[in-house]
Amino acid sequence: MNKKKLFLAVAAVTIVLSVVILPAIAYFTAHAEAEGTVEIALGMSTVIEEPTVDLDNWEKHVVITNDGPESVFVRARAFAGSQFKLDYEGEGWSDGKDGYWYYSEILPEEGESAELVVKIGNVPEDATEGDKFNVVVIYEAVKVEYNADGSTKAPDWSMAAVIDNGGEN
Amino acid sequence: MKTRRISESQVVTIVLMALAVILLVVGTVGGSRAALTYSETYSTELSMQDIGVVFNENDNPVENGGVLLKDLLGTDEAFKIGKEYEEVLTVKNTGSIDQYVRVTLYKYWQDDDGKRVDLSPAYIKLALGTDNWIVDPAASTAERTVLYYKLPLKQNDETSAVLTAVSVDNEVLKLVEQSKKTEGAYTTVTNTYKYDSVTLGLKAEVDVVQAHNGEDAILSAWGATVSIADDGTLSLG
Repeated sequence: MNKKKLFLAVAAVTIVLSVVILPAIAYFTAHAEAEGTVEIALGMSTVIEEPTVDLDNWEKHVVITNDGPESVFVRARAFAGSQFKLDYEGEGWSDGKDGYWYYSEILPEEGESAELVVKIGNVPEDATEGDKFNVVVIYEAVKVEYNADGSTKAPDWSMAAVIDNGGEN
Repeated sequence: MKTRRISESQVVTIVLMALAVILLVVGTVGGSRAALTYSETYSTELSMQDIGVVFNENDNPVENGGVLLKDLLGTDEAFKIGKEYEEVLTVKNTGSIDQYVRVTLYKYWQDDDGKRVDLSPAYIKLALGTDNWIVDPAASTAERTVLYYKLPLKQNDETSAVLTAVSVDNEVLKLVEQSKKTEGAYTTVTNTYKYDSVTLGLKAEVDVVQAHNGEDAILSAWGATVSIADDGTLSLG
């Protein structure tokens, strides 16, 4: 058998094997994919309006507004010299017995609390215009956290942002 | 009359050529013979097999390259940290042959500049399906989870949910820096969250391979070694 015949024989076998074997090593496969995103906004910004002062009745009027995109809980308290007595009053506000007054409602985006009235007692009867004393209002805001079912978790005040509103009045 | 003699070598060549043609024809016809059917009217049909797959998101088909999560939130609804959002992802066999299914889920954070590799995908929680799905831990990372569907998926059948919900761990709220700013009598303390204004990303890929000769097909197509029991149940390794 010369080279030509050998070449023809090999070629014939190769052709046949390529036809027979190829289907056995090719498998049916398919692929699909999809992708998506959702934005997470954790920014928190709350604003305390300039407390209005009612000097006739010795009261500070506090309203808190949520400027951020996320819902928050808020609480507030006031400090003054020990000679003064502070009393609080406001719809939706309750005494936490820890010095803070807690607003019961969640403040959503652009939400505004009801007014908290801080009444300043034991003001000297001889106080006159120009006398100075400090009543400082602070409040704290904390983001609302959620359970897996979407219900609201109790606020974690250790994560609160503290806003200190002081003033000479 | 002049006759032409054919040499012995030419005879051998002709025989080899004829043999090659016969083998070629037999091989070709043999491969397609099973696909030929005959009716009483002697018409001929050629039955083509194909393989196909599609994701279903909350019972709605998602085309290849489609968008996930677009209906996760309602209009003007903000994403709530900690809440589990329903995101039911299944796989449907749209082909004509049984198939084994592998799904790869990617979770990540990104912003306008691209992926945020400095943020941990571990805070993105995916509620994975457990009904006949098995996770391949060797192929999975913090960002990527690889799952195999244990059973061969028949034509037009749908898997159980490979994913049921998406949430973000409340722990991200503790990753915060506080800054203090004083203006006159006012002091403001601001919380800046590390994960604020980022985007949660989810990518899902599905690969399918013919169920016939499944072990070899999976090894060849995906490079993965699996075992398939007589009843068709797939296991890793």
